[in-house]
Amino acid sequence: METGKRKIEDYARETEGLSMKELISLKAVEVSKGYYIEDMPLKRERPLDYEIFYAELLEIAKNARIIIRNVAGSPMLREGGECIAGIYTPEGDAAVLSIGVLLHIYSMSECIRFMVNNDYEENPGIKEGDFFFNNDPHCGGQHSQDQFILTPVFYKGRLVAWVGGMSHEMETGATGPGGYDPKATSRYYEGLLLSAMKFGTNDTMNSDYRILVEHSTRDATYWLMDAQAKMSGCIFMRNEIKRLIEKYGLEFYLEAVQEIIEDGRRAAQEKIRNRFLPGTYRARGYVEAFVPEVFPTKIMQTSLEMKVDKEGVLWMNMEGTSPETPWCGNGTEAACKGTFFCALAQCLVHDCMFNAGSYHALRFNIPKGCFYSCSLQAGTSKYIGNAGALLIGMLFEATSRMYYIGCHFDEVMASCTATCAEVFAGRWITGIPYAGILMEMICKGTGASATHDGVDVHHIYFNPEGDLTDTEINERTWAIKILGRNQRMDGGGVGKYRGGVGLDSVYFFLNNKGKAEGSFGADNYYVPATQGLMGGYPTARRIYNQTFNTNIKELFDSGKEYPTWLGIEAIEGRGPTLIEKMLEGGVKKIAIETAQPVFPIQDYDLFEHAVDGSAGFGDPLERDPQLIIKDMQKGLTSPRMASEVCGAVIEKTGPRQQDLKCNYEKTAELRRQMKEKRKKQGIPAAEYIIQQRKRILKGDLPLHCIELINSLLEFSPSWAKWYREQWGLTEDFRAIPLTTKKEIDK
Amino acid sequence: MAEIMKTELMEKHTAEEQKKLGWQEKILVHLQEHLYIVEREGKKIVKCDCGYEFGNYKTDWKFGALVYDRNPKDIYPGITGHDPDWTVYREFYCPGCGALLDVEAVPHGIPFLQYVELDLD
Repeated sequence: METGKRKIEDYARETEGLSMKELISLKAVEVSKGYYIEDMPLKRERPLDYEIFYAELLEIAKNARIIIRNVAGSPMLREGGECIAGIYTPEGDAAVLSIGVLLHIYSMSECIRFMVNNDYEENPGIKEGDFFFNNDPHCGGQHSQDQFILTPVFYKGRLVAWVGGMSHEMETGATGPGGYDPKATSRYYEGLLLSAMKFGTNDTMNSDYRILVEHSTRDATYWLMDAQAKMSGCIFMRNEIKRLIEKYGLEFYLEAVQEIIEDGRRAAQEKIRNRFLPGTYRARGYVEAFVPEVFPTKIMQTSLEMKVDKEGVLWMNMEGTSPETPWCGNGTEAACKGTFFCALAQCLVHDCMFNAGSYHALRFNIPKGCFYSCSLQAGTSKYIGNAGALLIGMLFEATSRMYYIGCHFDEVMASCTATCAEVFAGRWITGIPYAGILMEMICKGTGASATHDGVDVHHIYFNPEGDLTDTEINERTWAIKILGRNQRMDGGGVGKYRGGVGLDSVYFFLNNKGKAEGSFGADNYYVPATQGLMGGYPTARRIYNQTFNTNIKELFDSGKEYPTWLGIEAIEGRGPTLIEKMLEGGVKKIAIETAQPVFPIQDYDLFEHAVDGSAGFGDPLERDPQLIIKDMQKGLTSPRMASEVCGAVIEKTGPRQQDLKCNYEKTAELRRQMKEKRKKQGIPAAEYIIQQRKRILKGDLPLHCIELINSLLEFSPSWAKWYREQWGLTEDFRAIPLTTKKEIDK
Repeated sequence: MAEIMKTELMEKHTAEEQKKLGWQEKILVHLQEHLYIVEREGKKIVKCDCGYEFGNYKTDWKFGALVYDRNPKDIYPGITGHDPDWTVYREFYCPGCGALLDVEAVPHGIPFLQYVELDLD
């Protein structure tokens, strides 16, 4: 079709009578040419109508999310806002999305294509009033807890759209409660995985589906209530789309949706082209694979190379990423692409018309067999909490460098750590079951910027509109009582600007009938999940404490003080935690590994979870002392951190926590001395490389580091080549020798 | 030499930095905190705001820095720090002024990573 000669009604005419398969093939041809549609007659000829239509369509998706959130039953949706709604083309491309869990723009597209590729049009058939459910990450989504439903929209017998709603659910009938078992080595531990299944007809949930969920999960209440909520949101969108078609006409509607996506592509590419210098931007990060009692923790590397070309296309290359491992943190390729979009929707195209169009500005190389492109059998239930969240943080980091070079300093945001989950199941004293994920940790801090500190206890990567659930709601949902919620002192990465801090939460169990069960799955324990930016540090380590059968009840009964946070002595490394100081008897497990298989819980067992925050930006010796004082007054920075890491001499001027001032003269002198010390202790890079090469050749590295490196050397030839070049190793170097300490010393 | 594509914002910022630092060499790009790509005698090099020169902009500036392996528990002590047997905070300092230019938090034995490789030619 010649540009400029296309008419508004052409698209409707050209695609009339085509099957979904044919529509997808047609679109694939156009996308391969670098655009979604070549010409935009509607925007050109009726620009105001086009803009008004877009605003109306977007409002439909936004309102649908509000409906889903308000009709839903689970606190994760109602309080945490873990849902999203979207409107798709018949071929499955997202035209508009509400705000929410942005991971799923791609998920629902992937699911529509999955159904088409598997001939759902013939069997089980796709017709008005049908509802499809998916929580299988191989058909779209990130893990079993991501549950979305889709329904087609027909107008006078013609398929004109798909609408979908997604939510994050708390119980899926896995071998561990909450849809997650740290001991999972494959998908067969991960509960009820329904692969794009028709679960509703004539706008009604099928009874066999309801019974399946009720019989296969510990507590089906929220799954089913939220499914009804999503159906309500979808029916609302379907009716509203028909209203729009009546208002604007079918030809207008079909053309407008195509142009909205093309507009999204053009806006994304234009932004990339106009704001960023062409070049290659890189990031890397580490997560820990763990299967308690099966294999010890091992480190997994994620590599990202993001190339900006002169046309404004982003080429994403993940060569140098570790291979799939039999644990629960692998990702499917669809999940990985969803992760990319989630990050870029927040840090790159947030001010564009973001939809499937911005996705078409991306090109991918996700190596087959890496743990972001896993096999059908692989476990994925913890993907987004670990590997996915890490990748989002890395994308923030890489785009932050692009923004910095483009002098958009306020757009810089250092990486945020991955998430974690405490999952429980039990029975209330009344006998009613409960199961799910405690979302105490959902809000973390944002990463530091180049112009300001991160925001404290505020944000989670996969849902920029996430919220910390109310204490009262949590106490109503699970048989727990929350004793303390504090912004964690020294929890964010230190720097010229510090990362936002996470939450330090202490809670105990009460009103259980018999024993409950819990498990805990978090991100890194041994290595940081974040990287500081330009001299900033990563975050502190996450801390998880458990206590069983202690004297906590006696403390309550006698009105004595009880632990509500870690305590400054533990934070400054000069004493025990408050749990250790205040509680007696029983078993106290302090700062234990953050992957804990299912364990029994009874009333008065107490737990503490001090979440890490986000990474810092810039040299801490350049931190404004007034910012340090402000943090110390709020209990966010310890005196040790202020003096020993930030080199600030802060003096007390009175008895109150607020009574502080900076001695600028002494601060300047201390900082000068600290910089001199750096120059003495640092060695030239060339010398450092020689030292490291010797260690590598001798095998003088910790075993878990050797295992990581050797697995990458074997899995990725291009990474192996780069590795040898960087350390000056010969071409025949294949692996780091596994040697004993004695042999190394010799 | 080909002209570098610079936005109005970049032009304005680099002009201000040029004035502030008072260098003879033209600032082309503000690469990261403290570091600039400047043009000197027809070559593009990385230079710290203290005046220290790291060399050709295509080569990772880290090869011209001072390097120190820091124990994570120096920053976050006791239970709050990551395990020094698994990870190292590899710090890069400017040899001229001692500014901390980068911290790579990596397992032992992992090479330096060049974060940015611009295509200015």
